[in-house]
Amino acid sequence: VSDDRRLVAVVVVTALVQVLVVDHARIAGVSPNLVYAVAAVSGLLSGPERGALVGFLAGLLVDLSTTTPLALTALAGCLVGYAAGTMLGGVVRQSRIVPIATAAVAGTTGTLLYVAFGALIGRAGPTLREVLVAALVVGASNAVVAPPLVGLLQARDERRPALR
Amino acid sequence: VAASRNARRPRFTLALLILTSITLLSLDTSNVGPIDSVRRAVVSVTSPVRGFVGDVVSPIGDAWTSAFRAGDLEQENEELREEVERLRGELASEDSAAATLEQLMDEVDIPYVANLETITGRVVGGPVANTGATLQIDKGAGSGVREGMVAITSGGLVGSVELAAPRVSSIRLVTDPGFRVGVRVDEVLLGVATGHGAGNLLEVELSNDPNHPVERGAIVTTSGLRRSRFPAGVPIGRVVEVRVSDDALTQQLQVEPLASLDALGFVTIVLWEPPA
Repeated sequence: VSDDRRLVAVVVVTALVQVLVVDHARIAGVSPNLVYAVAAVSGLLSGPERGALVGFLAGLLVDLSTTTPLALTALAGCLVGYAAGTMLGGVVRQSRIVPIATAAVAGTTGTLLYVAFGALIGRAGPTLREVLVAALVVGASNAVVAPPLVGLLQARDERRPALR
Repeated sequence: VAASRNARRPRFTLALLILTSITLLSLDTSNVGPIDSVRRAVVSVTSPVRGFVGDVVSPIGDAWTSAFRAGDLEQENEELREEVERLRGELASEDSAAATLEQLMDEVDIPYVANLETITGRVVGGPVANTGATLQIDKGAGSGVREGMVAITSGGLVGSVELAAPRVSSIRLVTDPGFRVGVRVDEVLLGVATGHGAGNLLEVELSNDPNHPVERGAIVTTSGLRRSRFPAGVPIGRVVEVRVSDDALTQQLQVEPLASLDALGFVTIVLWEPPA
């Protein structure tokens, strides 16, 4: 039950911070997206299933609070969360660079997936230049927030045995 | 056996999440089910907090901008003063032209925005998609706002209402990729303007008329043709570049929006819907 509560807390806080704060920030005309960073770091720390769940649920909440197509961020988020968890497993505990690089790649890939799936459902696509700028901005901002995210989520993980 | 089952579980979860996403996307794009109602409820609940956070965050952003752009702002201020003087001069001569245009619009039964009822709302939320361009205001269906209505400022067209919840609405900006609006240039030339992302110019495709070459600085307005989603005569932007196609049949205009879309505090909704 405590694990489920932790999942709900991570998801709700991520979506709230994204919608209420991060959406107001603009870098080169693009709003950063926290969902991909949190999904990737959760995947790295707790495995592919947790990464996919965090990405899906946080993405779904963000989609519901805005006018983006419902479940589009969720779909991209669950894929990057799962991929981050599958590829690197427990490496993160020994490295500071791995989570930063993974969050950056997750941000870039998540944005590209978002645009690609959007185009598949007939959403008018931005130009190639706009997509690349958005992917780079989201990737770079994810890299910046990755270390504090690892700190926050890992601290919770390490407390878990003591709590039991 | 248990280990193999454990290894398969994440893949099963992922497959389930992908299927759920695809189902929700399909329901949303085909407007089936209660998705719109749920979304309206969530947007209504979060809008007061968004307004508060926006009020806290905006001054920080403004301070940041002014600290790094003081020189630019002084020059911009000077240019704006000159522009105001020039426009004051033009205004007097245009008043009579506007009266004639309004009269003509009335005669051919085209709605003219100056005669339509409006409501003004405060911007409570900024752009929300990574590359798209939308914002939220604190007026919704309860104040008469309906989806598809046009959003303007004193500068010009801002966009159109994409979602109207009871106390809050979401507006798709004119620069959003895929935003399309019928336009009129120099009274006689008609075309379609499309958005290309926040901060980028609009593009207008026109059939080329050698007798009416478009010049830089010309004002582009909504066409208001029959079956148009927008009333006529709403200023959209100023032409900054004109390109004529190689075969000289069409010309493409690059248009800078007149409304300052990245610094909106209030937005006015024109309470007009196209006739069914």
